[in-house]
Amino acid sequence: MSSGLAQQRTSLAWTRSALAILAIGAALVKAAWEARAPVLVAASAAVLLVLAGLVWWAGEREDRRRRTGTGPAAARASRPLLLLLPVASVISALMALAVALSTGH
Amino acid sequence: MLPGQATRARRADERSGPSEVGEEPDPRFTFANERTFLAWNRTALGLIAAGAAAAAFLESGLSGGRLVVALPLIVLGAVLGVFSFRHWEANERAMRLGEPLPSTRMPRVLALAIAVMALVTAVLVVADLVAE
Repeated sequence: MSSGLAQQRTSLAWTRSALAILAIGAALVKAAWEARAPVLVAASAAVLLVLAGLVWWAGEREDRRRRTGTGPAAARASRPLLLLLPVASVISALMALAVALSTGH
Repeated sequence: MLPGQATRARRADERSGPSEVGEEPDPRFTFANERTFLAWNRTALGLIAAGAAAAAFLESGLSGGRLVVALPLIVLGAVLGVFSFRHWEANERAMRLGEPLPSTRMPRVLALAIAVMALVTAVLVVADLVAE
């Protein structure tokens, strides 16, 4: 079995993660819009768009580095780039909390 | 090595990340571990999205009913996001040292939390229907 296919699946998993963040962004914008909170609409859209872009960029960067590298060391994951995802999750959660508290009653 | 020195060495090892210990594993295992991390993280994002959707769209006549569902889901999502990274690190370290992969209770905790939240949501929806 080729590790090239495993690398491709990993790259696709990064793309799906970026899309998941975009989906949360869309849900939060819609929820904040329903709650008539224009500041939260703008903040949700801006923050989650940037986060999704960063995650997509990180995945692309990892994929490019691995395609051009050789040997097992080239497959090694970049810790700071991986750390981006839990940070994005926590920021998304904080945005979601802000929207939930503005809409929940 | 004295106990204090061992603790300091372990902390330095944790700061430097798992890539500094042991030997490079088979790239397919490295990729598999990364995909597992990404899958856990997407699950975290899914919980956050579910919480946001519950806050926005769940119909409940009870005061604070939406937040009872939304807040635990969002908090669990944030916790799971952090857990996913810790779990990736622990797996990476174990693979590099040729040790067994560490076990985790998180799948059980997640399944239980989802079941409880589904039940709470169902109760709120039924209570709302009965009140109408």
